[in-house]
Amino acid sequence: MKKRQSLLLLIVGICLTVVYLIARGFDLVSWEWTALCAGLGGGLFGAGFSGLVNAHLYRQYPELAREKRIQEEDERNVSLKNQAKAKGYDLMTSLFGGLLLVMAIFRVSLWVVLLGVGVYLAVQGYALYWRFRLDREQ
Amino acid sequence: MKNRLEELRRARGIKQEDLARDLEVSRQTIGSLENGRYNPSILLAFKIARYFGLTIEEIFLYEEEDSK
Repeated sequence: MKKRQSLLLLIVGICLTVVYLIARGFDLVSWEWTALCAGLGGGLFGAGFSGLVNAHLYRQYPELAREKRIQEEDERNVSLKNQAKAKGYDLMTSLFGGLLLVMAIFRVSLWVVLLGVGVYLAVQGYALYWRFRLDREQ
Repeated sequence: MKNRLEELRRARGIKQEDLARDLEVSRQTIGSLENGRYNPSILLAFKIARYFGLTIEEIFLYEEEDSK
């Protein structure tokens, strides 16, 4: 992660957390917004902070940075990662379909089920789009 | 795919870690290449051949059974 990106994430994370604390202090927001701000702010802060620490370490120890780059770009590692992702995607597709069915059987709110179906179709459509695009490009 | 990578590396007294560093791949990739569990991309095959000063065919031994 680049230094500028990490710094931005850190600042956004801190701002969100501060906003949450102020809003909570004045009882201005409901529980849902509290959870969103606190979770998102904390997550962004953590991501930004770790990015900055890594950037500092890699500047001090360039050999570490080179080793990290090699591990990330190594063709066998990339291939293994993509194969594992593909298997995960296949399993997720099956489980997601099953989950939607269970939700319908247990009469979960229609809007929730339809949202789930929408997400499912969006993911499948995205995968199909990339299949055709990669086929055209390669 | 069978190959002479380990034979060539040992003949020159090069460790797997050093070869991996010079080729900019992981040590695990070199290990997998040597025992035939992984086949390199054409780019990596060229890099390896150039490193040893040989042709690809002199290092990687393609047999008809490999494609099955």
